[in-house]
Amino acid sequence: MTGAEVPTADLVAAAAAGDRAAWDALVGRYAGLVWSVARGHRLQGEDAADVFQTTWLRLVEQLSRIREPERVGAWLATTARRECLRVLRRSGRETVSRAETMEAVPDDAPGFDVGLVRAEQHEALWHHLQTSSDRCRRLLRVLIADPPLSYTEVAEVLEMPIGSIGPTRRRCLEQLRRRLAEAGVDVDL
Amino acid sequence: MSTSDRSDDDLVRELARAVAVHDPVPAELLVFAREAFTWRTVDAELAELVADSSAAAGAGLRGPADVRLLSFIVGEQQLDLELLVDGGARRLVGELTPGRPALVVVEHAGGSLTQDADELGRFLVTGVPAGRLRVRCEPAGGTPIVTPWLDA
Repeated sequence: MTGAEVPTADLVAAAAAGDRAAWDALVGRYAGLVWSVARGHRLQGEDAADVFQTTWLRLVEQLSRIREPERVGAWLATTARRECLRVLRRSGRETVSRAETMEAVPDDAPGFDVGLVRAEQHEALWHHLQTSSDRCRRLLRVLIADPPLSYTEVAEVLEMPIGSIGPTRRRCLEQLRRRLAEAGVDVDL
Repeated sequence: MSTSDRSDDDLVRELARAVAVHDPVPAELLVFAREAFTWRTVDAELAELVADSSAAAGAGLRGPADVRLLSFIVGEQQLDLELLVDGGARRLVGELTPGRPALVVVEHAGGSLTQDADELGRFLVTGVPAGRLRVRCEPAGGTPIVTPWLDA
């Protein structure tokens, strides 16, 4: 049971019963979200890897105890956020340097069939996402998750009032659009 | 849905593509997440962390004078651990309450270390690599217990 149509709760139940394919499907569905939470907190290198790894080990530990298996995405994101705060506390900092914005684009980035213009747009989007405020970057990285989390789940994960998710999203996207326009980037959005 | 809502959704979708290109999950971490399934323990009960001296101070041991005290409980069994810095490694002193002999396995990122707990349930494991670890205790005639993964 690995198809995209399989309900998440069924994957959790199957994985808890020992179904490896179900586990792989869960990883496929939520690895990006867990990674985004770590990277949204400006973690990089070993710190980001630590958060990512610990989060999946926690899910293995807790598989049979997950109370709302249909919300395992939110559970993973919340666990990842908690691990981020632990790692940040360990290294005695609340935020880290902006050095990561200078990181080179990995050579093995998946090859999307996009033209040069599109690639430049993506590069600009990525750059301006990285240089957004902490609040916007964390929120937007969670909001890009596929399958998406509900606003209720996003609010829980980021410890924000649920009523503020929509308005904050709108504001963050507005800022992003403005900065792209200032930089002369036409994203046509 | 208004035009601006729709274009916001489009921008979020485009952001998702930009992130997929510029910041994908590293391949080796995807492998780790899939392989993590092999750490599943079906025969041992997960002990709950009930006390951690480092919880307030921040996780991890920083210097030679640092000691981290941890307590776990599952059912009637309590496990107390003392983690000490021992050069580049960690020294682990443990005690099971009620005390009883047990096989103790310390699992870490690179393998595992096995030790016997004495009649009173006390044990000492040295040379544990710094990093992620968990402790599994198999009391004679009892249900095995395992701690959550710890950052040591």
